[in-house]
Amino acid sequence: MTTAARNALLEVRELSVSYGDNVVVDKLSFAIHASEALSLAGESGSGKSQTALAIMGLLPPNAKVSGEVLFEGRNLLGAGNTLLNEYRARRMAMVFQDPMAALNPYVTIGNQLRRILLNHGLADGAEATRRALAMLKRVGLPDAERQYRAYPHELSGGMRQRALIASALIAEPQLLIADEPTTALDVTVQAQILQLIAELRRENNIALLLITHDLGVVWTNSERLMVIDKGRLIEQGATREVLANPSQPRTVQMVTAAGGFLSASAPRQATSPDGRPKELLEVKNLTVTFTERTGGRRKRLHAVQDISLSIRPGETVAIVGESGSGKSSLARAVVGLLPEAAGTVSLLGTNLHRMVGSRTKSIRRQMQMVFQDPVASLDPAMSTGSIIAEPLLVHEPSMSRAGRERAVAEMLVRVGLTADLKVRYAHELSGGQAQRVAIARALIMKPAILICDEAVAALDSSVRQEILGLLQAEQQRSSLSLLVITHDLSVVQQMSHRVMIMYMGRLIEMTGSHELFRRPRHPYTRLLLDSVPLARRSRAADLAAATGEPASILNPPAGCVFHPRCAHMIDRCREESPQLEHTGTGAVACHRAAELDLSS
Amino acid sequence: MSGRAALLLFANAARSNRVLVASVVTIMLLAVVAIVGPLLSPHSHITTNLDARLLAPTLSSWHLFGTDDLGRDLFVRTLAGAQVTLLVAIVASAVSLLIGVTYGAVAGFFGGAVDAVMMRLVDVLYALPFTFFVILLMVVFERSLLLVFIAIGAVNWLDMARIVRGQTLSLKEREFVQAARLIGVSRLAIVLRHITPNLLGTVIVYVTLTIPQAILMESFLSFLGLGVQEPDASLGTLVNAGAGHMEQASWMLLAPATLLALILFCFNFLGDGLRDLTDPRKQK
Repeated sequence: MTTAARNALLEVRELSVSYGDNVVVDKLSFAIHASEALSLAGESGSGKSQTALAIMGLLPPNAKVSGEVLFEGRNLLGAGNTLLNEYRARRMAMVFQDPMAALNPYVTIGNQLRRILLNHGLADGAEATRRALAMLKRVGLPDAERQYRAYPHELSGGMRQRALIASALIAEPQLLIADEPTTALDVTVQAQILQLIAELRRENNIALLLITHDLGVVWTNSERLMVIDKGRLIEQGATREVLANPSQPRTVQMVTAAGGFLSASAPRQATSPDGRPKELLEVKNLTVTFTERTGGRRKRLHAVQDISLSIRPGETVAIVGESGSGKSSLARAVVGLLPEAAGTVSLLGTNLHRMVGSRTKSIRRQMQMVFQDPVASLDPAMSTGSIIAEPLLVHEPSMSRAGRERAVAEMLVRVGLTADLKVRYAHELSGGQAQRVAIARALIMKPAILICDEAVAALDSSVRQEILGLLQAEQQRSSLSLLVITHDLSVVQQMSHRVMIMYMGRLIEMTGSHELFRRPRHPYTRLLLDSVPLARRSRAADLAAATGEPASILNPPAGCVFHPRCAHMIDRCREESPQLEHTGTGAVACHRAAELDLSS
Repeated sequence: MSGRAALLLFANAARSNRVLVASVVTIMLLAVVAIVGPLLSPHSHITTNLDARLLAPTLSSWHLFGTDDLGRDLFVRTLAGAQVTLLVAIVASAVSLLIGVTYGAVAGFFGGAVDAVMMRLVDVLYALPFTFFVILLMVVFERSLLLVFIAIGAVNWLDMARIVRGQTLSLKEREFVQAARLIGVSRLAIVLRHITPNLLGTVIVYVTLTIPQAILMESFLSFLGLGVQEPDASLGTLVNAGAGHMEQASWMLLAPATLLALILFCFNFLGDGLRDLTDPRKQK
């Protein structure tokens, strides 16, 4: 055995995990030294989470495991709970992807931390309380005394993840396993959490095993990177080297997906089609107001506030925002699924009825939508073939059965599937295949505009590229207009001609997508750009003022809604809400737009 | 579904789920025996014979399950009782299926005021004390087996309606239903093509749960003297009578109780099996 291996804090040797005949981790070996950070990257189903669970001894009983997991030389694989409990929390701890699921909803945040200390006999009553509170402060929970007594559901997503990190670190482990710690979070919050993990690690000399599908997050957070695919190690090395010179095609795909607009290839030239100046879709003064009943009191919630937009034939407009920004409500109001909407939507000059049920068939045919969860958007009781054929039954009732079958087969091939897939059911398809079927169902009607509501957010990075490519190909083919709803700036970069940025229901910036990356004009846009992990490598600066999370939309701040998080805030921002001001190529809603230079 | 498809489905099930097939076969067999058995026996289920009271099961005089305290042949009585019980099962589930599914699906899909009015009506019917309701029926109309069916059916569909409504409410918010709305599929077609097939699993399981419930309810009514009347019998009245004599004539309890348990078991396994079968996720 080499000295390096002998000194390893954690050494995994020939770890295999299988369920029946299905091998999910295949003879994986690696080592982590004290205070070192190692990233384990792979797409969904690559076995990365199974590896983490195997190390922690949390695999379900039907999993077959072999190999060795040596923690300071002691094999923990197959060890009993008594032994494992000595190691869990005190020696190694885990942060899970979904903090809501990982925290006990019936126990206050403070008690969850205290119990760890008490159960391990590390502190008694008052001392445990003091340490728990100190830990909550250390992970940056604002108003920690109050959050100490709060239940998990009372915290925002980012705060919950901070609390979870606190509970993982309270017993001062030597190894932290973070399984997709930021995947469930918004981009701006994601950046903060990654920074927090990096800081805590440096301070306490903790070794980190970071598990992720997003190569973007490994840049700042790990020295070494392992990429696994189908349970096998395909590439490893120093993080920066692997990211700079990936050798495996799978890694290249992942790097491209994570790097997006920063990859070597030049950003796509926005080619706004001209010649046909007529607007295809026009939305004017769209407002969506939900009424929220809390404890008998009614509260009005403006999910979308006074937004106007237009799309020309063959154009792609992206709407970007974090969760709760109202971007999905906007999309659903446009297609006519929201009775709470007010304002006008017109297609080729015809005003549309608010609800889809009252729109004519020919209008409905023109406007189609692709949803975020591809499997949920397909009827589980219907075969792929009948799902794609259904629009034909509605819009081409005279078509013969053979004609329909031919059209469906052609459509399947056109979206990159094979015709024999028509007998499959939704649950038998992969995410990417299901999304192709959903796109086929929309395209078979030859729509003029396709609204994609986070259509690739649920897909693996390589599949994401394929689906975006498919949408672009369709656009070239039939001058289809696309309204792309996304939180992902790499999607914007690749797809769109124009971008609209939303924050808390308001439109805060509208610009050409080329402009967006070179010269953002709203501080929030700048923050979004900086929050993309790989973007920060070019900007040495840390996220100077990237603090806080969006305020509750039930209680929007007075004045400019962004002011509590804004680095460039002045007194006026506190009092007066800025109007959207049109300038040359775009529009921006910021009091200081004229004086600030936010270009990179 | 064409006949051939149904046959294929059953053939597939036979391979994958033996318990389901076994319970279907048992229920069918029981039905045949319950109908044919009494015709083959020399005894009738209502003829009393005071010389042959409380006879243990014997082959000599064809009292296969023995006789009861009035000398009636238990084999014939048990099978006659099984006829009534199976009939209750079929009629009650058919009623709850027909009314409950339609009512619940309509209320759930249309929502709003329609839903509110329809479901408040269900609440009102729920609030009616069941026994009181049956006695009222018996007073107004003549006492008959048909009335028992109506009474049980009238109560059972309420649960079904609530369950179907809840399922429909969640289904109609699902993305595939919204996609269908955007395509332009009519409301009726959405209910028929997208909602109902996805309700099937739940409904089938629930129907098989209502069957034992209906059987027990019938026994309860008969016990109170509101259901099947002497000299006719149902498995419920027979178990009740048998319980009174279980120390000197255990067969009086064992025969109908075993049969009742067998029927209940079969319907429960049938429900489980059918749910697995209708769930596309469980098919390989």
